[in-house]
Amino acid sequence: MSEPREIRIEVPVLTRVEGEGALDLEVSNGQIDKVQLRIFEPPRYFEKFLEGRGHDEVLDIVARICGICPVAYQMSASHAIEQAFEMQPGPWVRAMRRLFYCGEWIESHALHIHLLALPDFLGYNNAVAMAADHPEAVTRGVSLQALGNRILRLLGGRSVHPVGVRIGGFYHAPSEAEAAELLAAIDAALPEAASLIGWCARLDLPDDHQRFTSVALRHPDEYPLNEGRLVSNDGLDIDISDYAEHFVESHAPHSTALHSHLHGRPYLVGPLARLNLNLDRLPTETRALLDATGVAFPSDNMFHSLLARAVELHFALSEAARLLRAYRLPEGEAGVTATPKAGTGFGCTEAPRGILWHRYEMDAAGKVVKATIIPPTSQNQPRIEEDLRTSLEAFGLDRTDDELRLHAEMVIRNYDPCISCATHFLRLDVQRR
Amino acid sequence: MCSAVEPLTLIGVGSPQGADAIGLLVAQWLTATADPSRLGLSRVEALDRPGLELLEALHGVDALLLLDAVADLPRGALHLLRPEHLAYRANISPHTLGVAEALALARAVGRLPSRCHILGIGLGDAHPFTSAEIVTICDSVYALLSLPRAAEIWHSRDPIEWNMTCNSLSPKTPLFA
Repeated sequence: MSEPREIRIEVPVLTRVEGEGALDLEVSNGQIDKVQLRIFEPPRYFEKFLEGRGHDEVLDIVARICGICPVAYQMSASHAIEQAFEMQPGPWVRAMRRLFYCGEWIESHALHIHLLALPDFLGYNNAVAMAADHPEAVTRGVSLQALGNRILRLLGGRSVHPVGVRIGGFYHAPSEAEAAELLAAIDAALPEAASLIGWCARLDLPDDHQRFTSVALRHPDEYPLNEGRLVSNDGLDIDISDYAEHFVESHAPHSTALHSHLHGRPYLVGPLARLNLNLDRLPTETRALLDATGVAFPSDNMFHSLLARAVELHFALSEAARLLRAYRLPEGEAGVTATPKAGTGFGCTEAPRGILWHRYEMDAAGKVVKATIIPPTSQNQPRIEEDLRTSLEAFGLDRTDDELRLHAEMVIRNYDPCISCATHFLRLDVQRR
Repeated sequence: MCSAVEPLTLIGVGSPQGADAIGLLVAQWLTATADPSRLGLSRVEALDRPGLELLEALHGVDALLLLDAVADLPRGALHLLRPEHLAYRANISPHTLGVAEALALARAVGRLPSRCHILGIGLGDAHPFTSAEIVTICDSVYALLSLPRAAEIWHSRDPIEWNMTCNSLSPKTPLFA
């Protein structure tokens, strides 16, 4: 065994993640002194931009927070504002929102599995190099992502920053012929999504078991997308409106993203947390495919996040197929008319990367008085730093700098962090004496 | 009118807002106003910020002309490129996934059309194009596609010596020669 040495590793720009972040790692005498995921994208001020805006503008504004998960922002905002207005959009809108969300999970998970994470597990340092040796994996990812985008276009008009959603529902209902055409494409893709689960389980994923708290939505009888109570494997079971009583955001000097803690501790949100807490809510066929892999869930191996994404991709395709098979044109409009009233509402939905919590205070004219948006990546940031510390120590700090850097990047990418979503307004705390 | 040996697919890409929309607008104009088949085009598509979906659109395409806005070129300049001219970032992330990266991936998986050209349209100062400028650029692309040598260019597997740049918004500049 080599002598302990001082190590200082800086990864100035993380690759294959969404947005711009960096990692600082300092080790001395065989101990990690500092590990910081530095998020330095400028603050984006969206909560402030929303103040004074009408309810009819909010969904188009929040969609711009993220190019990968705009639906999540639109859905959390819709639920929150409709709660403030005491509106009930009805079953057709509920079903179509679920379908819309499936589209986003499919495109986001397909992208992350095949192009962002997979090079790490197949031993390549970039997707283009991997594509030359594994073209079938890349083309599968591209096809599945395109299918997710088709669902987004069906209801959102376009896949990037969709414009088809409004408070109360949608602007337009797709025809039954369009729904049938999409259903046929999804049915054709389902066998490939089914085989993806086994394919991911057979990858040589690191065996990295850790103790962590999973947090996700849980619905009485569905795998969660738009609704549910907030639960954890440590006994949390709360209404989403009680979020702020349990979860605390704080500013860390090295990050423009706020850090979130649950009862003072880091926690995990996202596919692995969701699956760990909602195994019994998977459709029968998806559950059988997971069971056939022989991988035990709930899992405490963080690298099973990749497998969890594959399971959720199959779930989302199956759920989209179920919803499209039952699709009928609505009687009348594709939603209900918004009726503004003063009040406060909460929305918490499952973005591809985990829970996305919104709170809106609205005035009687339907304008935003105050908005709070807590994205999944800022919730995961303390967990990522905790994971880095544990994983790197287990990996061995006597490794070369390049090996440590590569492993650290793989740990971070495993969370599929969306750094652009997480950057946040810097809070100013003035003390006057 | 050109006499294409094989069908040529034209895909215009861009964002619907601002000057970057020009690739989309030209493709939409060709579909709505011109008769694509008279230009030897078997398929014309306008793709809004396709990212990876460009690979999906290339499935089964043998000859491609891709239209896209190009920064750092004079406003309205038309510049003909081949995929190998484009620098790409191999470490693809969703924020760096542009045409160059999509074509690099297409090449890696064997989906890059054997005959592939990119017609870049210069953005100049990147202000949105006026209606008059858009019409002029569309006319110029139409004229370019109608040139007698056009089919020879699109269907060549090897680079052809050609005057690669013209400026559609400058009446004194001849089209490609």
